[in-house]
Amino acid sequence: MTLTQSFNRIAHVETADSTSQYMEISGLSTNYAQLYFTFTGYLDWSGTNYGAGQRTWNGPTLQFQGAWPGGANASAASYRCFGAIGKDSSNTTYSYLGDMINSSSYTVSPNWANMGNLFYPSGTFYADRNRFTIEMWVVQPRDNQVKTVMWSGGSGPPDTGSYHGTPLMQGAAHLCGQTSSSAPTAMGPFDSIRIGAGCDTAGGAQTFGTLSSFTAYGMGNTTDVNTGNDP
Amino acid sequence: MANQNYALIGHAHQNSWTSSMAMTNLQNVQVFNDDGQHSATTTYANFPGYRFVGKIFLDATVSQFSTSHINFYIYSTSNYDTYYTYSSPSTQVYSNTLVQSGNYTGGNGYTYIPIGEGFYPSKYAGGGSWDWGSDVTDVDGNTVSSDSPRRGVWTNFVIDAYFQNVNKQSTVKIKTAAATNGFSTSTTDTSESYSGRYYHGGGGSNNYYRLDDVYLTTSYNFRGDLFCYRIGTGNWVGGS
Repeated sequence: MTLTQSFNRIAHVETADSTSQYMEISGLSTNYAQLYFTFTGYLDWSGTNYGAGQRTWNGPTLQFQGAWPGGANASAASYRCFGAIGKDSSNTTYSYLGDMINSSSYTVSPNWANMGNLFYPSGTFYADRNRFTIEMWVVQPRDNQVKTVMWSGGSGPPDTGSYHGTPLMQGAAHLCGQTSSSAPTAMGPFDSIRIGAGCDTAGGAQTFGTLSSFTAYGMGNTTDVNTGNDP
Repeated sequence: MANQNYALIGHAHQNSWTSSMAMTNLQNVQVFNDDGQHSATTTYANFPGYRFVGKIFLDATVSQFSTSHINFYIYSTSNYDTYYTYSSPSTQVYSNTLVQSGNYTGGNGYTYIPIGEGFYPSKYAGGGSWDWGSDVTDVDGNTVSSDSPRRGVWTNFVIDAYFQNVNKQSTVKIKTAAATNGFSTSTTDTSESYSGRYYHGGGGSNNYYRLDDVYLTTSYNFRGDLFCYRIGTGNWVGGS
């Protein structure tokens, strides 16, 4: 085994306004032992059907390997997702499967994997005070096995009006390894990812706020990779 | 060149069934910069931070699974204390009630940190295997059999630790997650009726304060990858 020890920041995108429904990093090199992603930013709640004091049904969301409408592997969009969300409004932790659109979960979602359930504070909404952070890991992005994205994130409570943060967002997602349309992509290279702002209860798209950022790091490399028809 | 103080120093690659993985002598790995020149050794002083990242595929079913059957430990196998929260295997698709459970294993009596509650057994509950029932062709044109682990559930994990000195316990924090292959109403469902797993916790041993070896052991067969990254105090590696 030969290791390349250094890591590199290989991609970075940042919103310049509050119009982006998703942030995308595509064309990633998969010649790394691990891809590591960080997001920090916030949702712009204007234009949604949410009122102050409510939580998103979903968002932020996750798509990857070009499995989204118009993507290189659009037909492979069959996301399997399991997550846990901790809420400081009720001191409980919820688990869920799928995309959580309109609270109707699908364990094989044609849309996305859900990661969050964020709170829209009552009172004045100060975007610069309502940010959250998520980190994500993909191990062996070029091996011949199903690629899993694991994430861990959280947000503190907004400092106005109410105090309901989301201190825990943790879970994992992968494309379904069953069907002939999704399995090859699931086992194929992990070279693209989208973090999305999700949608409101009526299906309307949410957006990220200004100066939300999404960064990819390539974390060293190894010569020991399953790339053939094994195991 | 910006300072890049994170270095990949170890990789355990297991491409066949095993019941354990280990990395040893982590304080004595040679580090090279991007020009191939030796720049440092991974002493505790040079690289006090640790991050272990990996994924494994388990040859077990949910019903065969036990919290005590996957363990992580650092060299010594005694005097461990740990606390963790996790989601028990659930048959609920969506839950708006408390699903998190906590568990304490302490009193200096444990020989390891049990992390099994965070790992998803890859076999399906019904038939006792992960057979999808049909072969597929991968992106390289190879036929992938219906029961290949390449197509199953892989649990990912991240374990962090920071070394202070040989008089202080090295405590690790652990996160894991995996999503089920079942639960769908579609015809492609596996009949697996459990949701998935997550775990986060922390612990350590008060019997051995060094952090030079790590072990992952199970009572089941598994395969997968384990990487060790170290966080340095100087620009030892390079990068951009």
